[in-house]
Amino acid sequence: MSSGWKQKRFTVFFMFSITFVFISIVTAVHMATQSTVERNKTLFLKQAVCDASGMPKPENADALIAWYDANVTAYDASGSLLEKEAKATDHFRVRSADALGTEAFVVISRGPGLWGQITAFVGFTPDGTRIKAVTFLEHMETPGLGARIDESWFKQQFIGKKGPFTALTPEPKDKTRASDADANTFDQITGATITSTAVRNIMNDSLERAQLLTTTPAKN
Amino acid sequence: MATKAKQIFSSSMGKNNPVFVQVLGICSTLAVTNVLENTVVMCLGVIFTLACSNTTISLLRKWIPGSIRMMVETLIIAAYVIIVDLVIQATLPGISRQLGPYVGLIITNCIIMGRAEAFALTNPPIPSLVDGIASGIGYSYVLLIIAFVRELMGSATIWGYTIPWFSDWWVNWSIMVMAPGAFFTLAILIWIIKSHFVKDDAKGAS
Repeated sequence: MSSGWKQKRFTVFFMFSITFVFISIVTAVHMATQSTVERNKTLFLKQAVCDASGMPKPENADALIAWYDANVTAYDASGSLLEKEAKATDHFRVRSADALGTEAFVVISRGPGLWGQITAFVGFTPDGTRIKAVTFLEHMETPGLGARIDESWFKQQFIGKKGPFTALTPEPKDKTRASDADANTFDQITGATITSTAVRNIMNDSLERAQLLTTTPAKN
Repeated sequence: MATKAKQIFSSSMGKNNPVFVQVLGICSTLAVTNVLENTVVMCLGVIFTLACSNTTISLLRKWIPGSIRMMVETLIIAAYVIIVDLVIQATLPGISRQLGPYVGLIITNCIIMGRAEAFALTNPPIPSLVDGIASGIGYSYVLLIIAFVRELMGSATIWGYTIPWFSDWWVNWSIMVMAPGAFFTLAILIWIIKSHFVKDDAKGAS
């Protein structure tokens, strides 16, 4: 057997072996972290429902899970009850403290941002007319610019308003303008016009869907 | 040994710095330096990957066939980066969401491949480990300086906290949080460092 053939055989053997070893290591780390990563994703979702429904933040992760399991039910777009939150989840109903009525509806609203999809959780009052709170579960906007939609001043602008919304150019001297509950305007973020427009569209889309929700009773 | 380690270290900090002398790893220098917190996580990820990949490649250097060495290096680097990504997702979920695809892009950081090719393939494991850590720190401190300047001028905050007195009157420079801000800061930093701190040996030779 020629040495060239031996060399080739060793090259293939070496590549195969090292690939096998490293894929095994990565698989082991993946399996070790999988449950934590999944739990983190679920916690983010439950926290988003909690924030959007205007509830005070639970003390810890266990309290959040307990609150969610006791008070929140997930529905798909046709209004059918889902056993647990899934990709098909369209909106949530949050029970009131006495567990008899509805405290809030939380609508999942998605739309294209500058770099990728923005997923907003918009909470509504039981009659579906006013916004209780809003939070953004996922987005890929520019840190420092579009990503400022995560800042509390931005999200607070929507609380108590009816919409449909129009975006305003920020005017630092006029602090009262965007905070007026009947104005249905919000200050957009300087340097992030596309993100601000996307948020306006996402919010307005959620308003229409919230109206429909309150007029159609939930199926169980 | 100690003297050699010291030499490797000081070389990466100054006259052989991966960012401002070799001008490597610029993609991440531009991408993640607008907020200090993300930069620190990115730097730790790069230091870990550099140290581990350099050591592993150095340990295997006598067996890696020359014709497939780049495939092997990429495989090893990619494996360590995926491990970093998984660990960040499990332990720092908030930061993982903010960094998004950038952690995965450590694989394409030219510094890591560059150190594997230029150092780890021809040197024993311990100097390679030192070289990996030193290059990582050399990369990190430049990024941290840029991130400090960009976050301060672009958002008037440091590590997300407002600064008393300064934040009240400073008008944010939006350009500093966008890519051009990083270009300007990096270029000015290279100019200051090269003209005052690191003298170019080749100057005047041409």
